[in-house]
Amino acid sequence: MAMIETHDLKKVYNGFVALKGINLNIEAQDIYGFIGPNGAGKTTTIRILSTLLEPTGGQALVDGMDVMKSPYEIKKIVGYMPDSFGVYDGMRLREYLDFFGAAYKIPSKKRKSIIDDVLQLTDLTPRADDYVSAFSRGMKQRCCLAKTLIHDPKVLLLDEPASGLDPRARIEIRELLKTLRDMGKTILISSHILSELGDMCNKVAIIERGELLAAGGFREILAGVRQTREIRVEVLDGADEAATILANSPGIVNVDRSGNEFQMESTLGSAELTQLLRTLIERGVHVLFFSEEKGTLEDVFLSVTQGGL
Amino acid sequence: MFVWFPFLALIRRELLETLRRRRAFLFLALVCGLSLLAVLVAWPEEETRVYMGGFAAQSLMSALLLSLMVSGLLLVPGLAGSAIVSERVNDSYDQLHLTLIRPSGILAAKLANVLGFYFLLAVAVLPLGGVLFFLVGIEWRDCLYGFALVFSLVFSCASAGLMCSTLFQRTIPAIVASYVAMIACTGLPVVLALACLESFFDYNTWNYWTSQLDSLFVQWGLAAAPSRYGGFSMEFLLCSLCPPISLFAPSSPNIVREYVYLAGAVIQCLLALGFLVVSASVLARAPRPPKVQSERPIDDTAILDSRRKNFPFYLIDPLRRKEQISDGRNAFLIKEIRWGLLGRTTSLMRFFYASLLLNLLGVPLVTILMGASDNFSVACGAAASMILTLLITPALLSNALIKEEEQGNLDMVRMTLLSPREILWGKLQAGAMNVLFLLIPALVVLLFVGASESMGWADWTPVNITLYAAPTLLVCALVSLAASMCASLYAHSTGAAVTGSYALSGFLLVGLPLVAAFVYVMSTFSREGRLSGFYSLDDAFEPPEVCAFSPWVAFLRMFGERQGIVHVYPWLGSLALFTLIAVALLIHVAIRYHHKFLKG
Repeated sequence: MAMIETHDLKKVYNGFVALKGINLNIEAQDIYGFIGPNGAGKTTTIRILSTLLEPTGGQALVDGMDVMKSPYEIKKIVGYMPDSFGVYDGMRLREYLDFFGAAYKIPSKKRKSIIDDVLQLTDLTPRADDYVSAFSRGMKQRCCLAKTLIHDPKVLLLDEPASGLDPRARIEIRELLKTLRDMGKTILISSHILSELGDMCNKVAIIERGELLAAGGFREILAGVRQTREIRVEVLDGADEAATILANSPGIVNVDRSGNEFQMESTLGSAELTQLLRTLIERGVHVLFFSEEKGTLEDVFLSVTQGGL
Repeated sequence: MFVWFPFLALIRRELLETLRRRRAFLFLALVCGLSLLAVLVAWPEEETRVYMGGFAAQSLMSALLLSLMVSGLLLVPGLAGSAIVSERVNDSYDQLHLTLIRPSGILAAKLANVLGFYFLLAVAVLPLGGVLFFLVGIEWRDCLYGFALVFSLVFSCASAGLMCSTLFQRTIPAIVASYVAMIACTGLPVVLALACLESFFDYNTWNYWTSQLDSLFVQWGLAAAPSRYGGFSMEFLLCSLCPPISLFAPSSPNIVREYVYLAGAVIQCLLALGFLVVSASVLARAPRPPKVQSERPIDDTAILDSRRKNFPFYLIDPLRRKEQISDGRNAFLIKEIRWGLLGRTTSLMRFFYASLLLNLLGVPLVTILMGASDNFSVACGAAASMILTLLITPALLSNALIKEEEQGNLDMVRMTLLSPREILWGKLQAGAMNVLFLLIPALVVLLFVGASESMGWADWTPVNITLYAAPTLLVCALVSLAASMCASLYAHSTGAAVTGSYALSGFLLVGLPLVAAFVYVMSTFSREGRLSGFYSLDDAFEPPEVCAFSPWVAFLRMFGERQGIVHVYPWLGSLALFTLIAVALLIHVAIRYHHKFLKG
C-alpha cells in the first residue's frame, strides 16, 4: 500500500515553476531517498507533503489522505524535520519536548514516558536538563529529530537531516534511521550525501529543476540509466591472449588495458558473460578477478542529472 | 577605490539595501508629510505686515527645522540601533569582521549609511525651504546654523544608536536603548529637571541661584564675549543643551539665535564624538563569547528552600524544575508565559522595578511640575504614567509574531496540532499579561498619588481623577498592544517591528489627535477666511470632536483648568473609539495571521 503518493504535483512561486508535475509512489516502511541538486524542488515537495505549502496543481496523498483536504489528520501521522530550524532560548531539552508534546495534544500522563523513550532512542537522556540553545549543531539535529518523533508519526519527512554534521554524528543518525525503519516507519529523506543514502535507502527519486528524472529501486534505476554493463577483469598471466579474446568477443566494447587489468563495457547477458569467462580459462589465461562494477548512487546521479542552475 | 578604502563597499551595500526597501518610501512620505504639515500650520496670517515678515519667516523656519528634527529623532535611532546588532543576530558580523575592513571602518560605514539616508530624505524636503524666500527677514547664517544644529543632533543620535548597537547583543534592547539615548541627547531631561527644581523653589531662591550662576559666567569672562551677544546665561545654557527648545526660544540680548544654534551644534558634535569613541573601542575589543546557560534545575526541596531565603529567589525561583504543561491548557500561552518575557525572571524583575520606579518618580514629578495645586496637575501626573507605560509596551510586544519566523521555529510550530487561533490567542493573552504587569504598578502609584492629594485637600476629586485615569490607561495600553501585534505581523525583522510598533502607536495616540486638531484649525480657516495659526494649539484641542480622537487628550481636557468635569462624553467617546480601533486591529491581525499560517 502506498503511504505517500503524488500525482502531477506542481508548484509555482510568483511565476517561477518549482515543481513541474511530480509523480511519487512511496510504499509503507520504505526508506525513500530524495536526491537532487540545490533548488531542484526537494524541500518544496517535502513542505507540500507536510501540509506547510499549498500545491499549485496536482494531488498529494499521505496515507490515502489529501494534503489539501485533511491537513489536521495528516499532521497527526507525519513528523517533519526541516533543513534549517531554530530552538527556543531558555528552554531545557525536556521542557522543549514537553512543549511540543503538549502542542501535539499528547495527554500529560503519557507524555513523560514518551519523552523518556524518545530521549533514549536519540541517545539524549544525559542532556535532558540542559538548555537546547547551548547544544552543538549535531545535538540540535538530534533534538529536532526527537521533537519529530514525539507524537510517534507513521511517516517521517526529513529534509537534509545530516547536513553540517561530523562523520560520527552522521553515522549515528544513519543508524538511528535504520532503527526507525525497523520500527515500521516510512521515511522520506532528502540529502546531498549520496553514499549514505545508497547504504540506507531501498528506493530513490532523482529530481532536477522541478522534474522527476528517475524513481524506483536503485538497481532498476541503474539498469535504466546504463545501456551497458561495466566489467573488470584481472589476470595473473596471459594478458596478451586475454586482450585478443576480449577484442574479438562480440558485445564487448571500449576495452581499456592497464597492465594485467582490463576495464570494458559489455552488452552481453549474464549467460554470455559466463561463457566468456570459460573461454578465457580454456585458452590458458589465469583469471584472478572477473566481476561487474556495480556502480554507485553518485554514478546514477551524475548520469541522470545535467547540472547547472 | 574599494581597494584603498574597503569600507566604501560596505557603505554602498548598506545604502543601496536601505534605499531599495519599501520602508525607504514610507520614511520619505513621513518626512515630506511632516514638513508639509509644519509649513502649512506655521504659514503666517494674511494680515502680516511687511515689518512682521521677519518674525513670520523665523517661525516658519523654526517649524520646518522642527519637522526635520522630529523626523530624524524618530527614524535615526531605529536605524542606528539595529545597524550592528542585526549583523550579530544574523551571524554575519563575524564574516564582516574577517574582511579587511577595520572595526572603525565598519562603524564609519554604518554611520555613513544612517546619516546618508537621512541626508537624502532631508534633501527631498529642501525645496519646501524655498517658501522662506517669500518672506523677508531670514539671515543666511540663521538658516545655515539652524540646519547645522538639526544635522548635528541627528549625528549625535545616530552615534548614540550605534553605541547601543555595539553594546547590546539583542535587537530590542539595542533599539529601545537608542531611543532612550536619543531623548537624553535632546537635553529634554535636563530641562525637565531644571523646571522641576524651579517649581520646588520659591521665586526668590530660584532667582538667587540662577543669578549666582550668571555671575560665575561673568567671573570666567564668558559674559564679555562678542558685543552683539550678551554672554553666557542660564537661558543660553538651557537652549544650547536642548536643541528642540532652542528652535522656538524668543530672541533676546541673552539669546542670539545663531550663537545658540552654533553652541548647540558644537555640544551635539562633541557628544557624538564621545559616543563614537566608545563604540569604536567596544568594536575593537575581541567579541564576547555568547553566554552559555548551563545551570541545572534543582530538585532537592531543601536546597530550594534555602535558596529562596535570599534575594531575589524569594520572589521567583529560576532554578526550580518547571512542571509539565497540563492537559487542556493552551501550550503556546504556557510557553509564552514560562519561557517568554515572564519566564526570564531577572529581566522580569527589572521590568517590574523599572516600571514601579518610573511611575513612582514620574507621576509625582509631573504632578509637582504642573503646580501640585489643582486637579489638572494630578491628571497630568496620570498622563505621564500613561506615556511611560506606552513607551515600554511596544518594546515588550513588538516581536511577538515575528520571533517564531526569525528564530526558525515557525514551520515546526505549524506542524503541530495547535490551530492558528490557539497560537494567536496564546500570544495575545501572554502579551496582555506582560502589559498588565506594567500597568499594575502604574495604577497602584496613581491611586496612591490621588489618595494622598485627596487627604491633603480633603477633597475626593483627585481620587476620582485616578479612577478615570485607570480605564484611559487600559485603553491606551490596548491600542499599543494591538499596534505592536500589527507591526509584528507585517515586519520582516525584530528591528523593523520595534520601530513600526512605536511609529504606529505614536500615530494612533499622538498623530491622530494632532491631525484632528489640524483639521479643526483648517476648518476654522475655511469658515472665517483666515488661519489662526499654531498660536492656538491649546484651543485646537478644545472641541469635543477633537478630544474624541485621543483618550488621553480627552482625559486631560476633562480635568482642564477651564472645563472641570464636563467633558465626560468626549472622553467616553474616545474610549469607545479607541477600543474599537484596537479590536479592529486585532481582528485584522487574527485574519492575516491565519492566512499567513495556512498559506506559508
